[in-house]
Amino acid sequence: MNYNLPMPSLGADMDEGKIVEWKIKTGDSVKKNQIIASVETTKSVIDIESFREGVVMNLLKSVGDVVHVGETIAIFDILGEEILDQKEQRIKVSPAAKKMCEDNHIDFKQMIGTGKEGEITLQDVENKLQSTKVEKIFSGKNLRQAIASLMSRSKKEVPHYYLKKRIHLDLLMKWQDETNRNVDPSRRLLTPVLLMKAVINSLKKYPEMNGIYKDENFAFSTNIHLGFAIAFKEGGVLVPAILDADAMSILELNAAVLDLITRARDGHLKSRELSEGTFTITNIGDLGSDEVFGIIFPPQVALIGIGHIRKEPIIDSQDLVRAGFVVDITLSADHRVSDGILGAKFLNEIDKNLNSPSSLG
Amino acid sequence: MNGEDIKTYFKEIFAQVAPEVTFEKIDMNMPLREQIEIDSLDFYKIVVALQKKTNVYISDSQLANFKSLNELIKFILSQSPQDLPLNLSSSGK
Repeated sequence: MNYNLPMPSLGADMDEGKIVEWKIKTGDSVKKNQIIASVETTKSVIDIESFREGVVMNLLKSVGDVVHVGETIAIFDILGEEILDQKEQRIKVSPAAKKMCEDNHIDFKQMIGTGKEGEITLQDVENKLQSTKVEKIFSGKNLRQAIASLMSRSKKEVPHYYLKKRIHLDLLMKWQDETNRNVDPSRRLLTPVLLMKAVINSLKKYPEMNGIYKDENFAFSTNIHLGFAIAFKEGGVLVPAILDADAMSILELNAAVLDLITRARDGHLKSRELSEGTFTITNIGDLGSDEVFGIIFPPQVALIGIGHIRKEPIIDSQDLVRAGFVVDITLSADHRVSDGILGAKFLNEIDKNLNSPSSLG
Repeated sequence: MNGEDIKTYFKEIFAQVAPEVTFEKIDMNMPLREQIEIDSLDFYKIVVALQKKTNVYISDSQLANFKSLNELIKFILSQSPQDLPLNLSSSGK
């Protein structure tokens, strides 16, 4: 059975998109979530994924074509369509989720439930709403305006508190040197990745920092989708997330960071990466600033700032002064969800991880 | 391998990693990041490419000490002969 694949909306302000590249051709089998094309919107290029499985019958648009949202760009032969039709008849959706869908004009038949036996839950709908909001922000016609709007909202709505901790890094740098010396140069571990890994490990112990705040409630996230701020040379910042960063080894995380930065620059971020972050790290140290007190990226509830790694005088356990590597790590957190005591413990846990570097591997 | 060889490596690497930079305009005695706009990914790529070209390992903690490209070149030259590149013949030198 044929399925007309429409140009998707990658944000409420998107009226049209330009096809930059097809990743499929006629006759290809397409799996669910497979990247099928790159589409240029007003601000960036985004890879679009297929939400159906099937075989490509025809590509109706060519590279360079500008296509209105909703217009058919390809035709798929959907495998097992009759079965799908029957399945759609008995989609399970909780009453609360159904009401929220109705209130927000969402077609729940287009959603995938994560509840028991595939039931669409309230959380699924909230995730969908969150995703739509962030996509809207990202695809706005002026990234500067989008940043202004989001950051203003955060400072207005979120009662931030801030903490700073200076962490000694001599052990970490020594461990990194020993590790990098013995691997192929292309597998060198980046210093910020080691800090990220320490934060991820600490988030597992302090889940109050990882999740989203919505409707006066905080929802923990069982996964850590680690957002990190990427600045562009031409100006502006995006915060894509490494999805399921908690399941990655240090080497996998290193590769994922390099991949994400490269794709952000090339305009090949996926929409999920821009909408599902549960925690953010911002690293200002590259530019020499010693500390950054960041603004929380709503609806997240905390952010870690990394300053410049540098040598400073350190008083050791013998009260002797020596030169050692230090970094100032800052925490910006939402006081509606956590208190300073918890924040301080969280920073202590990061310190502990960074000073037990072999546990990062 | 001498200082000019390493400078040539730098030129080749910059042409790949940061093609927008005119290498000849870089002051070899000034901090790099005060002269051109490169981010941590560019820097990472430069260091990895340099290690592949020269076979000299430079740790992140050592990199933090270098104030200019000339200091970096001196460091590479100071490494023991056995650390010299295996791929000089393919470098065009």
